[in-house]
Amino acid sequence: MANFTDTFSTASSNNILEMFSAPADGRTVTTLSGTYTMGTVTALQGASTSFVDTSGSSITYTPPAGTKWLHYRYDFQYRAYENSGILGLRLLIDGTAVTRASTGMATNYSNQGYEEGNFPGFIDFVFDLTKSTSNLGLGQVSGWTSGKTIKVQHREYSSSYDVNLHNNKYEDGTSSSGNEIHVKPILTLIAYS
Amino acid sequence: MANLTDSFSVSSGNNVLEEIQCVPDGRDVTVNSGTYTLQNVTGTQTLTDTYTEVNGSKINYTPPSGTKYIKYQYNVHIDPVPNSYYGISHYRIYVDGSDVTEAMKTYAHQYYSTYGYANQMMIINYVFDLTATTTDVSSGKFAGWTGAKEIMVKARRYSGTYAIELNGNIWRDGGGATGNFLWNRPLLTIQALS
Repeated sequence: MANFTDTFSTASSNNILEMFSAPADGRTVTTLSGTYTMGTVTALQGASTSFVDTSGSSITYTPPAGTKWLHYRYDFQYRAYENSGILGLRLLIDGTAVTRASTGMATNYSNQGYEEGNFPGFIDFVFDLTKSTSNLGLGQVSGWTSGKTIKVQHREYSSSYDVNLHNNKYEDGTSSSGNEIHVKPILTLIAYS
Repeated sequence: MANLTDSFSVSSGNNVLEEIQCVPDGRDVTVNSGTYTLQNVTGTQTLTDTYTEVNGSKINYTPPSGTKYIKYQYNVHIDPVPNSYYGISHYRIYVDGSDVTEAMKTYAHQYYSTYGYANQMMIINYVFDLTATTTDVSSGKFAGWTGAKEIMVKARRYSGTYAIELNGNIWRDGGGATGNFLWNRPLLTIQALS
C-alpha cells in the first residue's frame, strides 16, 4: 500500500484536449478554452472570380494550454451551377493564406445543359503548434496563446463554372424548397497535445 | 484542507465524453454509456422512390451524463447504377422517427447521358444540441435527452430514371470491381461532447 506522502500523477484520458463541432446555426458553445458563437447560415452562397469569405467558416480560436496540433475542418454542401462548377478553396489564419491547405473541387464535365453536381465537400488542415518560429503559409504557428481567426475563402474558376455553396438543388424527387434549399455547414476543431 | 474521507472526481482530460466509430457489421461496442449492437451491412442497398432506412445507420443511443452535443456521421459509398445518368438521391436524419430537417442533403453527380461513371463517398452528418430548453427536432435541438433515442438515416432516389445503390463500388485498381469489391462498407461515428 502507498504512503500518504506519495504523489500520483493524474490519469490522462488521451491526447485530445478538446473538440468543438457545430453547425452554423448561431449556437454558442463553451469549451475548456472559451465560449464561441457560431455564424448563422440561412442562405446559399454563390461564388465569383475573386476570393470571398465562406459563410460559417470563421472562428477566432484560442487553443487550450498544451496544444501541439490543431485540426480544423469545414464541411459544406457543394452545388455545380454551371458546367462542372469548378471551386477553389483556401484557408486563412489571421489573414494569411495557408498555402498547403488550398484545394479545389469540381464535378465531371458536361456541356449537355444540366448542371446537376450536388454533394458534400470539405476542407481541412492540421496546424503545427510545436515549431519555434511561425510560418503561417505552412500552417506552423509558434506561441499561439491568444485568439487567432481561422476562416475559409472560396472562388470559382471562371464565370463559366459557377458554384453555389450550402445549396440542395433537389428534394424528395422535385426541386428543393423551404428549409431544405439550404444546408448549414459544420465547423469542427480538435486540439491535440 | 480536505478530510481523508472526502472523495473527489477524477479530472477529465477533455470534453469528448465518448466516441463510437465502426463499420456496422453486427458487432457489439461497449462504451461508458452502454453496449450497442450495430446493424450488419452485407452488400448493396437499392433505393426506391420512398424514404427507407439506410441499413447500418441506425443506433439506439443514450448519451453519457453531461453530454451537451452529439455529433452523428454516416459515411456511405454512392453508386449511380450504370446507364442511369447520375443517381440523384436524398438523405435525411431521423431521431425517434422525426426528421431533422436541417440535416437533409441531396447527392447528384453531373449529368451525362451515356457514361454513368460517378462513384464517391456521401457524408451525412449533424451536431445535435442537447443544451436547448425546448425540443425542436427539425433543428436538431433537444431538451432532456437522457434515455435512448433511435438515430438513423433514411434515403430515397429522385425517381426510377436515376437509380442508385448504396455501398456500391464500380472501380478497382484500374478496372471494374468484381467479387467482394463490388461494395464498400459504410462507417458510423458518434461523438458525445460536454
